[in-house]
Amino acid sequence: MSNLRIPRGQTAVLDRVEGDLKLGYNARIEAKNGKNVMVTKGVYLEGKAYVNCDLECDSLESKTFLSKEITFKVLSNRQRLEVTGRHVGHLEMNGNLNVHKQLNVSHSVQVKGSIKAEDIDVGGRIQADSITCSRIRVGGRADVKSVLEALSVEVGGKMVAGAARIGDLNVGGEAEVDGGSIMGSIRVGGKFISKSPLEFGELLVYGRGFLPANCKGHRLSTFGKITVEGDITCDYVQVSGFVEVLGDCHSEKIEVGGKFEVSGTLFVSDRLEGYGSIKIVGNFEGKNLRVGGKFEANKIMVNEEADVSGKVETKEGVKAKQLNVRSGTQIDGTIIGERVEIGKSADLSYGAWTSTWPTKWALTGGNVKVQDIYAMQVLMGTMCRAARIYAETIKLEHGCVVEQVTYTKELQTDSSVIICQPPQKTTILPPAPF
Amino acid sequence: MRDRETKRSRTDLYASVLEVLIRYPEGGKITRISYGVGVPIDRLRTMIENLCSFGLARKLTDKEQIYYFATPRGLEFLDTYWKMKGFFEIFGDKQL
Repeated sequence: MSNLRIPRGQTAVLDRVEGDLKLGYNARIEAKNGKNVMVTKGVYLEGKAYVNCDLECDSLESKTFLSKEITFKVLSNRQRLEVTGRHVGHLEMNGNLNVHKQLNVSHSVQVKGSIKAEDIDVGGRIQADSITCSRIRVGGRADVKSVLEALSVEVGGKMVAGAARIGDLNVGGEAEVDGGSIMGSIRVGGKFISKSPLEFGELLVYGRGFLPANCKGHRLSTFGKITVEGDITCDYVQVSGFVEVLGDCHSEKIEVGGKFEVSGTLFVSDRLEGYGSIKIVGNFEGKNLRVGGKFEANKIMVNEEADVSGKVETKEGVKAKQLNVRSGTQIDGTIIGERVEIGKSADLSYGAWTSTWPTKWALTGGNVKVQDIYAMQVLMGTMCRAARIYAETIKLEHGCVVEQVTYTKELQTDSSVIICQPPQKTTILPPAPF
Repeated sequence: MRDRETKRSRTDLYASVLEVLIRYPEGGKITRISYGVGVPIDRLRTMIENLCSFGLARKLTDKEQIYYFATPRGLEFLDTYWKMKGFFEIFGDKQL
């Protein structure tokens, strides 16, 4: 059967069409073999069309519905016709749709089975059981019951899908997936929900995000609020809004400009930089730490360097190889380290973590109150206060007040320093609490 | 077409139009944009004319067809819009 046109409102029973198939408004197709219809070239919709079987074709496109050929002399006439042509490009199918090249429908596609196509472009809404394609672009809404597999997904309004196997996802409004993997970048303007564990590349949610437990990704960032319902592993977390993790969080690098809350333990293999508010119900374990806002944790353990300013509240204390407590800082809990410097002037080199030695060694600013210190070297700046200090060498600058000092090698003070109990020199220092 | 809890504000509608427009870098036709945004063409035409007058979208006529594009300023508006929506999410407010 060569090129074929099904007139308006008629039903055709087909088997195989060699050439193009044009479907008039409200045309209906049934399969002669009861299963599928094969079209070797393109299928063109001139309005609504119904297909009651599987359909395989080279391409599927919709055009503005025209009952007969009309030449427009005035542009506004064509525009008026487009306005009145309400059902431009609408396809309803009961079977599966297999398009070898492009599926391009201006209004909507509703398929009860699966859609396989190279490139999908739908202006309004697409509904299917599953979709497999390399690229899908939908102006309005995409509803996929089971699997959505695509290299690139772009939806202007809302997307709801089952398991996702997606490269890049870009949704203007809301996106909801039932887990899977989105390994490229995810950009969602409004709301993003994953109901099952998701493996992701770069997730950027402007509005509200919900992730279940055991998600894994490369980068997580938000300007709004993301709630993770359990443990999460992510290479890089950037918090410009509010991220709430109701479990443990494993990450390589974390930057907090907004608010970050972890119900479990926070593990950071490289560094945590926080200028907002960080609250960890469990412990913090990391390589480097630099906080300037508010930091709450049960216990803070840093393998390399910790640079602390602002307000730090711990139940058990802070442990770091090198610990700098900047002037004006309030720090609760025991301090443990190899080298502890209390009361250095505030580090103003925001964002320059590795090249800040000149500023780090700036003049002492003082006025820091800390509790017990266990260290090898302790340097306290002017007007600082501490409870008990246990260290090999201790240097107390002008106006320091310390309740008790125990040392093994050297104690440097001046006449303005007040030590409530006589300093004790011993051979062995008491062990640190942790 | 959509299941919305609240009526979209004018700003929401402008953002929706631009979200659809950025998906058509080759230029979007009014009918297709209307299906994407979910508003009738006559209302969309007014909105899109406003967007063009604000410099957030632009119009190009080619072979009797009118195509609409988002401008860099439109993209800037979208970015700001979603960021503000993010802040409102934190504050607990519902609408921009």
